[in-house]
Amino acid sequence: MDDPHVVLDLAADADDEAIRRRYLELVRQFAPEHHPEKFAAIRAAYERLRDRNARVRYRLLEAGRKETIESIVEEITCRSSRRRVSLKTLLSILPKP
Amino acid sequence: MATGEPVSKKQKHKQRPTSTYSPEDLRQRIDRARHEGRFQQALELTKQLHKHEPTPANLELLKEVYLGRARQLRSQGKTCDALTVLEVASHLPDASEAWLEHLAQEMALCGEIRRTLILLDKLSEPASVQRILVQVADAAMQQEAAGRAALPPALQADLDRILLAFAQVEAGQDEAARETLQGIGLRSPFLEWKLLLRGLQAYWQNDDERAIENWQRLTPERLPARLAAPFRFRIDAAFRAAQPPATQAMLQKQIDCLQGSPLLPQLRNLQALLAHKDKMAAALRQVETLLPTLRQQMPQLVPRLAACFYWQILESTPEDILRYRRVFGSPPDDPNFYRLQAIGYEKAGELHVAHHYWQQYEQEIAAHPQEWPGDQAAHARAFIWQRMGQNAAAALDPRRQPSRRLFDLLGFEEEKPPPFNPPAEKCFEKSLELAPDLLETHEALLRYYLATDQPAKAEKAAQQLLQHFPHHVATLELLSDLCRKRGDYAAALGWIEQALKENALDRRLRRKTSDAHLLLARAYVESDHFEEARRHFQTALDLSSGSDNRMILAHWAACEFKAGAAARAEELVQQAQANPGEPTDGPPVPPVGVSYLLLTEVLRLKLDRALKKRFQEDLKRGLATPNQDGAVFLTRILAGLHQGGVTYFGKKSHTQKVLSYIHQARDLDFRETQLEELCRNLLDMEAYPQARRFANIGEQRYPENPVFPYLYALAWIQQRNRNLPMWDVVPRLKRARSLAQAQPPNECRDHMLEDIDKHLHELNPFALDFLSRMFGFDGDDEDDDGDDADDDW
Repeated sequence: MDDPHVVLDLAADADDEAIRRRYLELVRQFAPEHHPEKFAAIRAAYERLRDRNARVRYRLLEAGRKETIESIVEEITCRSSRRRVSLKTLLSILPKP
Repeated sequence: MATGEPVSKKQKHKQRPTSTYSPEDLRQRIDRARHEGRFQQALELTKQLHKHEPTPANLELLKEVYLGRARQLRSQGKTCDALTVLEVASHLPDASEAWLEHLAQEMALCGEIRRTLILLDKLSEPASVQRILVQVADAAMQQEAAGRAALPPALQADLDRILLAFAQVEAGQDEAARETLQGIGLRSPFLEWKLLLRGLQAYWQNDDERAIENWQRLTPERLPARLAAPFRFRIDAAFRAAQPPATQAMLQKQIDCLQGSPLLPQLRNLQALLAHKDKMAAALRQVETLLPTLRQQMPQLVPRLAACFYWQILESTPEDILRYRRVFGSPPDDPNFYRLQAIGYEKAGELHVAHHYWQQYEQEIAAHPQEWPGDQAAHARAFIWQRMGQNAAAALDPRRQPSRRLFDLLGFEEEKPPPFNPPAEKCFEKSLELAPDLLETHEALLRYYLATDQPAKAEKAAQQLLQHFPHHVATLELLSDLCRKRGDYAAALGWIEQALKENALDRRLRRKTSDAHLLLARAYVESDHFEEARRHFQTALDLSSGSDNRMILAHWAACEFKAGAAARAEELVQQAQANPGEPTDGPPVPPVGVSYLLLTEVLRLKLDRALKKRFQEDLKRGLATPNQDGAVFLTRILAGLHQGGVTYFGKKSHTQKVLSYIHQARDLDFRETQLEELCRNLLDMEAYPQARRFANIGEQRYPENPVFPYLYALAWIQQRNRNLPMWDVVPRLKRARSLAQAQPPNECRDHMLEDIDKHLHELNPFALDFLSRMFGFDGDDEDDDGDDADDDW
C-alpha cells in the first residue's frame, strides 16, 4: 500500500495537527517491538505527510509512483476469501495423466 | 540383399544380427542408454544380454531396467504402458520379496490397486506392506468409487472416514470433521490424509501457523503433500522461496485456481506484459478488458492500477498517453499530462522542453487552486518554479555541455544552447514570491549564485534566507566566508559567531571563529589599532587549541613588535617557538614554520630590518634540515597566501626556497595524510610539477588511496598553459574513480567522484568511441609508473 493517507487512515485534506495526532495514536497501537513492519510503514507514511511542504512534494512528484501491479496482485490475493473446496476440486488441480 | 532388391527399414531392423555385440559391448551400451534416459533401448539390450548370458547379475540388471522404464513411462503420464511393462517384468524368474515390493510399489503409484494387493499378499514384512499400503490409499483416494471398491474392507472404513471428513470440512462442520478424523489411527495408511485435512481446517480458519505445522509433516512425494502445496505456497514464505521457478509458477496457478479472484490471472498477464517496455500498448489493451470486472469487484483498486500505468508511461512512448487516456480517462492531478511530459523530458535530458511543460503544469494549477487543500496550490506552484530553476541552473553545469576542448579539437564552432525562458534566477524568485518560507528554494538560489560566481547576490540571497530561517548554520557560515573573501573581517566574525551560538561545542565552528578573530586582529594591527588587535588575538587563542595557538602567538608577536612592545613580543616569540608538548588536535607547527610566519609578518608589516634579518637567519637554519611537518606547514602557509592573493616583497624567493626544501624532503617517510595535504597545498600554490611528483610518490606508497591519482590528474588539468596528456590523465582519473567507488561513501569521497565524473565528461563529452579507445575512457586501467615527463623542479 503506497498511499500514506490510506496507511494512516486520514482524509486527503488533513492538517498538520490531525496528521500528528493520528500518527502518535498509531505508533502507540503498533509499537516497533511488536509490529516492526507496520511501524516502519506508519513512520514512512508520516514522513511523507508531516508538514505542508512534504505533503505538496508527495502529491506533486511521488503520489502513486511506487504503485506496482505486484502490490495490486498482493492486495487482491489478501482480500480473496479462503473459500472451502471439495476433494474433487482439490484433486482437479493435479496434472492429468 | 544379394538380389539387389530394396529392403524396408523394418526388414533391415529384423535382419540386424542380434548377437553381433559382445556381452561387454552390450553392458556398455546399456549403461550409456540408461544414463541418457533411453530406457526402452536399454531394456531391449538388457533382454539380449540376459538371453545371451542368463546370470543372476544380468537378471538383476534386467529387473532394474524394467523398473526404470516403468518409472519413466509413469512420469510421462503413460500409466497404462507403465503397467504393461510391470506386468511383463512380473513374469521374470524371481519371486524375492524385495523384487515383489518394488513391483507392488510401482503398480500402486500407477494406480493399479487390485494387482498391487495381490502382490502384497506375497509379502511378509510389515514395514514393506505399510510402505505400499500408503500408496494404495493415495491411489484409492484419487479413483473415488472405483478405488474404494478395490480396497479391502478394513481400508474402506478409513477411506470412508476421510471422504466424510472432507465433506464435513467443506460444509464448515469443523467439529464433526475433527471427530470423524479421530477414527484414523497412527498406523492407518490414511494418516497423511488426516494431516492434510487438519491443515486445511486450520488454513480455512486463518490459523496459518497450525496449517503449516500439519503440512510440514507430510511426505513430499505423496499425494497429500502435493494437494497441500498450493495452499502452503500462499502462506509459507520459506516453502515458497525453496521452490524452483517453474514449480512456483505452477503452484501460483493452482492457488489462483483454487482460492484466487478471477482477476488474478489477467493481472499476472499484465505483470508479464509490463516487464517489457515495448508492450505497453498490449498491456493497456489487456486493461481495457479487465477494468469492467475490477470496477465491479474492487473499485478501490482502479486508481491504483491507473497510477501504476501513469508512471509506467515514463518508460514508454508518448503515444501511450493517448491510449492511457482512452482506458483510464484523464488523471485528476495531471489532466493534460503536462507534469508527466515534463518529468519524461527531464529524464531524457531535454531540459528546455521540460521547462515548457512545467510552465504549462504550473499554469494549470494556478487556474484550478481549489483542487489543492488550503494554500497548497501556491506551494505546489512554488515547487514547480523551484524545479524549473534547478533545471535551468543545471543546464549551465559544464557536465551537461560539450567542452570547448573537444570542439577545438574537432575544429567545430560551438553551438550554444538557447537560454531558458524564464532563466534560473527568475524561476527561483517566482518560487520565493509564492512561498517565501521554502528553504529548498532559498538554498537552490544561493547555490546558483555561488556556481555562477555572483558573490554579492549570493550574500543578499543568504541574508534573505536568514530572515526566514535565522538559525540556519550553513548559511551563517557561508555568509561569514563570503564576507571574509571580500575582506570584511568584522562582518565575517559577526556571522560565524552567530553560527557558533547555534552549536557552541562544534570544534570546526570554534576553529573558524578563532580564524575570524585572528584575521580581524591582523587587520587592526595593519591600521595600528593595537588594543583591539590584542583583544581579538586573545579571543582567537581562547577559542583555539593545540598547534593553532603557536600560529596565533607568532602573529601576536609581530603585532607587539609593531606596537613597540619589544619585551612582550619576545615573550610571545618564545612561547610560539617553545614546544611544550602541546596536545595536537591538528597538524603540528614546526619551528621552521614559526620562523617563516614571523618573517612574513615582519615583511608584511614593514617592521625593523634587524627583525627581518633575525627571522631570515632562523628560517635559513630551519630550511637546512628538511622534515615532513615543515614541508606540510610551509606549503600550507604559501598556499594560503597564494589563494588569498597576498603578496609581499620577497615572496617569490621564499616560494623557491620552500619548493627546494620540499624537494629535499621527497624521500622522507611521509604519512598518508601528510602527503595528501602536501599535494593539495602544492596544487593551491599552482606548483603543478611538484604536485604531480608528490602525487606519484603517494600513489606508489598508498596504492589504495584514490586521492593521489585524482590530484595527479588535477595537476595536469589545472595547468592550463600546457597541453593535456590525455593518455596519462584519463587512466589516472579512472583509477581514482574505481578506487573511490570501492570506499564507503562520505562527503569527501562523493565530492571527489562528482569532480572526477565532471572532468571525464569534459574530456570526452560525447562519449566518442574513438576517444575512448585512444585515451582509455573504457576498459581496464593500465597501471603505469607515472614518471613525470617534465620534472622541472
